[in-house]
Amino acid sequence: MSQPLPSAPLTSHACGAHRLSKVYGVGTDRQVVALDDVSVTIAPGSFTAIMGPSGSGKSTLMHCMAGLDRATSGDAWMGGDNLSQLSEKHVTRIRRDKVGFVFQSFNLLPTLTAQQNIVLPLDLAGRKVDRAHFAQVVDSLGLGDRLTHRPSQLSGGQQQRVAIARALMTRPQVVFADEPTGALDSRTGTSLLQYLRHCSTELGQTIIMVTHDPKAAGYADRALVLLDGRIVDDVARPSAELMLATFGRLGA
Amino acid sequence: MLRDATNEIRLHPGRFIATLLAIAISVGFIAAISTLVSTEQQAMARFTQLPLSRSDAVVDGQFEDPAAVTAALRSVDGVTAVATADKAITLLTHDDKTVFVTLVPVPLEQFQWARIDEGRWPTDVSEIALSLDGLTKLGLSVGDSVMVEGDGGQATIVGRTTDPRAWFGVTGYVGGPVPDDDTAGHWVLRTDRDPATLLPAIRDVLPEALPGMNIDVSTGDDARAAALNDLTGDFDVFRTLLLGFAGVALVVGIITISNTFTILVAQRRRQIGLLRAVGASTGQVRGRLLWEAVLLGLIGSLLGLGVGIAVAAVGATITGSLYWGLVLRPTELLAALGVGVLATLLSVIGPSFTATRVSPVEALQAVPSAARAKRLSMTRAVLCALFGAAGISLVAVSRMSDAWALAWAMGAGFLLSVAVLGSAPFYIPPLLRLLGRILGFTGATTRLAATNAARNPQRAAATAVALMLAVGLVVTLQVAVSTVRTSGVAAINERYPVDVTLRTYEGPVPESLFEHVRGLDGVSDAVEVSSKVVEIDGYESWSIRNVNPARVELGLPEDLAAPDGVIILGQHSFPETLDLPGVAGPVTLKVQQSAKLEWGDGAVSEATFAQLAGTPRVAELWVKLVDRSSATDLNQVVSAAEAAPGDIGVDGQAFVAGILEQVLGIVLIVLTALLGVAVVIALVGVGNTLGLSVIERQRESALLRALGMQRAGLRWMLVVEALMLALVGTGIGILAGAFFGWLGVSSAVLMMPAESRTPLHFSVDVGLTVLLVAVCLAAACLASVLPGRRAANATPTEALAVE
Repeated sequence: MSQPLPSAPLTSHACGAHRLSKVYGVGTDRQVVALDDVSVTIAPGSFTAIMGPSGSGKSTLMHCMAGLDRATSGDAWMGGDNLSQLSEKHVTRIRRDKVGFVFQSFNLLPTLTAQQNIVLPLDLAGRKVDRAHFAQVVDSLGLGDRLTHRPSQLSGGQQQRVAIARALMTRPQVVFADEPTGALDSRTGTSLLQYLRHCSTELGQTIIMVTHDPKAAGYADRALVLLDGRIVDDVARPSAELMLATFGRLGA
Repeated sequence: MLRDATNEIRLHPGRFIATLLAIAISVGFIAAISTLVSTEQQAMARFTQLPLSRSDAVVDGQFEDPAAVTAALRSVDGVTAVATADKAITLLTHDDKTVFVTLVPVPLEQFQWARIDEGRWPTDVSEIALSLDGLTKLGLSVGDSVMVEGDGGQATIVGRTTDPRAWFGVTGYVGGPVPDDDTAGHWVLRTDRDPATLLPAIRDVLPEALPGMNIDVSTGDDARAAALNDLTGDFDVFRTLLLGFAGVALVVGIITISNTFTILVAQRRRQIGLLRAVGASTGQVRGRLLWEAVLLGLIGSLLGLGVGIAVAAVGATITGSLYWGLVLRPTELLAALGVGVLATLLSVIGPSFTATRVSPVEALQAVPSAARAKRLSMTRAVLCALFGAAGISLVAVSRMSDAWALAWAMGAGFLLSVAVLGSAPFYIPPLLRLLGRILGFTGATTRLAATNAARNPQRAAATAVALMLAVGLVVTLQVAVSTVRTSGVAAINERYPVDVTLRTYEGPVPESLFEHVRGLDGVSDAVEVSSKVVEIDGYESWSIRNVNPARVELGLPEDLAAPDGVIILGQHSFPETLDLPGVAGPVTLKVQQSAKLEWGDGAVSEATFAQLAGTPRVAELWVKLVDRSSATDLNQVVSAAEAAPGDIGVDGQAFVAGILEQVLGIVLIVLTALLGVAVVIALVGVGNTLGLSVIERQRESALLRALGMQRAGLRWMLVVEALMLALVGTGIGILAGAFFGWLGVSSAVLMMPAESRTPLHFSVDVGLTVLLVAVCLAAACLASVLPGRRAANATPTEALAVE
């Protein structure tokens, strides 16, 4: 970890969850517990992988921590803000200003060019684009000659790099990545994971990545393993082999 | 296939709401027109034939001795009562209120169609009974007296009858023969037998008619039916005119429905692809869509019939005609139903072919290929260019032609409309983007809205075309009527600048008259104009007036002013200069001619006036009315002039200009309201396009929410999208409409002989046009509410879900 990002607050955690539970279908006979009393703290500048088989609650945990969804009980912290306590409007603003997202299916707006997609969050906030920052992000992702293209004219890898650039443009406190390599071939996926690793180590960017791929988890410096809505394992410096073994033990 | 279609509609009713609305409004319009016109026609027929209303048989004919006819009819076996069915139309006046009244003698009890509510039936010629409506219109009640036009003089109101209100007149009853009986020769009979069997017996007893006159004997039912038929011709004009407007609404409806189906088909590409992949033939896929259309058309048309009849009932209540019963014409209503279904079916044919042209594999691909959008083809461009060129050349031809100018202009209008509407996909998206760029400073939301509105050129174009067509037609008629109005009023004002002129032929205007006129409520200003009697060309009576002070005071146009040293005279053969007797020797004045001056009148400036010999006297009053279209205001002045001593002439065209202005103003509003239905349908289309697009963009909405756009932001985005579509559609519609309106009127003027052409004053009714734009924009905002809610309700987690 070289230096903290200028916008990162001086708190001991970047984000975290305290006794977080999410229950679907409350009050019906088909009640499903997706998250069961989960507590976790994410250190600033760390690269965390959330793993687990389908239905283990890993996506729900990410949604609640990122302010995309509301927990049934417990607290979700983004820096000093308790997302569980804030109004929908306030949470939306936090998503806009403090959180970056990378989705499995890229999710770029088809009507906008690559450049317009990258600066969209700043546009929505009515903030000025930091030219130097923009140039640095675009250069490091090798998107310089693709800025005027629309998503339909870009390859999958390029689209995902545009999505990453969009996530980084606001200098977010935390970047959440949901299966970022899911729709990419393995070579493109690898270079993308290397880039995320680079952002974490070189730029001190906090990253939380949901994945079911042990190999992807190998790039993170911490792996949380979920099963039936609970954290069953918290692995520091995971390797692909270790994660594969863990998965085998869980029978996933 | 029918079951598939029913399921589709039952599963996604929301997607069809707009279509149903468009069909229902179109069909409802037709049904309302048919029902209302028939109802009014029956009411009017019944009203005009009130004396026949309770007769079993009717006799028409001109006889030498009417009394003998009555006696003869009474002698017929089975006849229980005989009466003459007289009526006369006259005017009743009270203060400044005047009402047209159909006067009838109080009918025999057997023939009475109304009862007395208050007071009693008149028993004397000087007594009268009126309906509540008539009394209200005159501001009178039982016991008051009223002026009867002509020799009738004063009559006392002794009773109030139960006659219903009607917009076309009032029935009054007198206790004796009606004045100026214009229908002598109608007899009504009551019988206790079958009226039809009575007719031969009646014919036998009747004396010979006057030479050349026919005798007509018929049953009461036949006579009433004939009266209804007599009116058909008059009402058919209205019916046809109104149905023309309904036709316009229908065309706009077809565009809207067709657009809906195009979008629905685009959204169901994969479903259609799947159907095709599992072996459905193109015919089967098309059949499904056609069945959907038939079902929708049927439901929408039935709704429309209900709404239309209800609207007609409300209308007939307002006019008072509902009293005579609502007239439903089953054949016309069935035709409206058929038209609704057919229109829906027609509008789905295009989309259904597009749907089935796609190969199954292509349809199953997630993203529609970009190539499809590019099919916006050369063919369209070339055709539109050809139509446009042909249209422009016809405009040129119409400018050079006299007799056929309007015909050429109509052809040009049609061709240009096709070109403008057809080429919409080429210019609508760039216009939307331009609008986005202009308004881009307001924020990212506006820019996103602009790109969204323009992302699907065909769809945006079709939506805007419906609006362009509707607004264009409204504005065309508006501009035409408004131009005729302004030009007509200008022509009258030019000729008669002063609202009313009062003049004496001998002696000065009495001071009392001047004071009286000045003090009238309806007069805003009155000015005395002094004149001197001067001899020109041997005529003594030339009245040379000092017009400038009056002109200034009344604010009349500058060209009426007389410069010093000039005499303005009418257009008669005068030399270039005239020598007139002056205070100090002859005064030489330059002659200027003006069409505004009559024979015997001249106008000079104040200074010139002072130089002329003679005693100045006030022989003329110029009066400016408060409301020049008000008969009341004018009447006050006229009565004042009549009451004044001496012979006072009243002149002026204020009333004509005012009435022209008023009538055309009403025409303008009625036309706008009628075509407004088409505009409403087009705006339903805007809401529809947005609603269906939002369904497609659910994921994008969710993404924007995830990236931090507030709910309000998404709703605002849809509002802006709707506003942009409405603005572009309305804007082009207004521009095109203004041009076509001008083209039409100016061509009509070209067809008039050159010397009687009035100069055209191109005019747009700014108030109505601004109102139209405001209503369109407000409705567009309204149309975006539901789509906006749907977009705003996208949960951010949807964006993360994998398809």
